[in-house]
Amino acid sequence: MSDLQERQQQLLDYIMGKPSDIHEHIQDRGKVSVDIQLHIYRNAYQVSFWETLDTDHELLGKYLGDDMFNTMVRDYIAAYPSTFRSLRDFGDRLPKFLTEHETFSPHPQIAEFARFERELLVAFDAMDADMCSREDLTRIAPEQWAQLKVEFHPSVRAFITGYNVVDIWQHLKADRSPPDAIARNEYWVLWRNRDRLTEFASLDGFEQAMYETFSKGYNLEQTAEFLIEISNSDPTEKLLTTLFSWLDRGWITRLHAGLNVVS
Amino acid sequence: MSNDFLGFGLGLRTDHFHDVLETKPKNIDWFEIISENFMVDGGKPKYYLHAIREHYPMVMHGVSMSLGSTDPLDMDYMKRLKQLHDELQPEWLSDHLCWTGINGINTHDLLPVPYTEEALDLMVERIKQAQDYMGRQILLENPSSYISFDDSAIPEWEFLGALTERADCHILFDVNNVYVSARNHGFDPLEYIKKTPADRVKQFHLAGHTDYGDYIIDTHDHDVPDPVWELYKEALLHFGPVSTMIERDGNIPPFEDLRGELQIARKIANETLSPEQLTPRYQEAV
Ligand SMILES: [Fe+2]
Repeated sequence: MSDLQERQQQLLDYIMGKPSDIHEHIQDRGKVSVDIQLHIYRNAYQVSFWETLDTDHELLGKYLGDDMFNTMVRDYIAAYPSTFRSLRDFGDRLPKFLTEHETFSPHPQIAEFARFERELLVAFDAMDADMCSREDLTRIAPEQWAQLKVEFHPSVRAFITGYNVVDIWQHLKADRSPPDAIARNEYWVLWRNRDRLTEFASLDGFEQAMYETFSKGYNLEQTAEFLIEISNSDPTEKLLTTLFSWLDRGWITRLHAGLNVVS
Repeated sequence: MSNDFLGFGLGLRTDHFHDVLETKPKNIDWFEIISENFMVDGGKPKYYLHAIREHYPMVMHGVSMSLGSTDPLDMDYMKRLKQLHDELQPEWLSDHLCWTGINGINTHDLLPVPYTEEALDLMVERIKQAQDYMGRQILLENPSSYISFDDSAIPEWEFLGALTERADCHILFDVNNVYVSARNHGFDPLEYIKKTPADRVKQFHLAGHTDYGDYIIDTHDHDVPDPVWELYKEALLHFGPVSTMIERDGNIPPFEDLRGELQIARKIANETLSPEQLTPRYQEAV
């Protein structure tokens, strides 16, 4: 190991709170002890990550309270040090960490809550793409509608959870006391709207099935057949209403009908 | 010789996106962005970035190149940086005389390098490699620091000067960092200025800090204090007209206030240099 490498390893170990001999290699300036000088770096390391998680997971902080949040941040920094180029990504492993940590894992809704906030961030930064409108759909000849396939906007994503975490999140957002955690299956879709703000909506069984079928690349006719099976009635009207609502929300970036592509 | 003087700028911050685009003030000549903040695929910040770029010259300032690290250069990072660079077509791009981590760990802090021959050789090679990849020269910023290594055999200004000569890069001279480090390490900031090669300096940073008496921390969360303004004047006398901007990262005031603070820099420059010297590049073209 070169001198430089050794010095960098020592300083990094110190900053990360590991045993280190770095003290022996720092000039004593008299006025300020070597301990204090070095501590500035260790402190900055903790603070920058704390601030990042506090910004990206503001409502998780509110849900956990200061003490629990601080414990979480401290242990997360130690368990998953950053290997990212941007602090923006630092919390990516937080949901996983929360399922592993002895304090948090007995309350699985906490990890789900964090996962919901991560998905919101992903939708916020997702790739830009065009958004189709109702008019784009009406421009496709009716005889081609059966073959219609949709391509979702890159920000659109499903959030499937076993807990009422979105309800808890919304209460905290509105400064109301959150409901108790309940285990229940929920299906949400998150997206970035036409004003580039993130939104989310709960999907009923019909819309879920429709979303999943289109996501897998099936066309409108195939989707309708599947929906007949699950709803035992003619799904056409609801299917079209739903499709129009998706277009209004900016969920769809391309409509493929045979050789025609509208975007 | 090309005129690299862009005039007086500000660091572009999320809090001010809307104000910048609404008001498009004429008393700001250019903006600096933190490159990493825009290494995302899309969304609102990128929308604002490109909208603002249409109206202002920009420079890119990075914090992750880690040029002083003994790890290999992170080529994924360089690729992403080049993508952003090609999208944005900035006037130039900069990073720091520092390292941010080793063994793949990123502290996201600008850590000091021991000023040794070994570090100098390593950094020269890495800067050359970075410049080759980017296809242009970069600017290297002098750091603020809180420790000095026993190993350091060369004063920081000599190290910086040698580095920029040998790697053939430019300097982003942070006036506040010189002040902070001078106080922390007990050197003369004027000596730093005088010993820095003037022909290499292409940009100034101005900022505020937190003064704890026995030491100073470079927090960027206060207005630029008087001693830094005084040093700025000295820097102008030595380096001539250099593109100047204020960095503010914490406790961010309303956009109006920062614009006001920038006019102090303009006033000091007007008192120190001649109007001919202070004609910005893009004003000439008009
Ligand atoms: Fe700076």
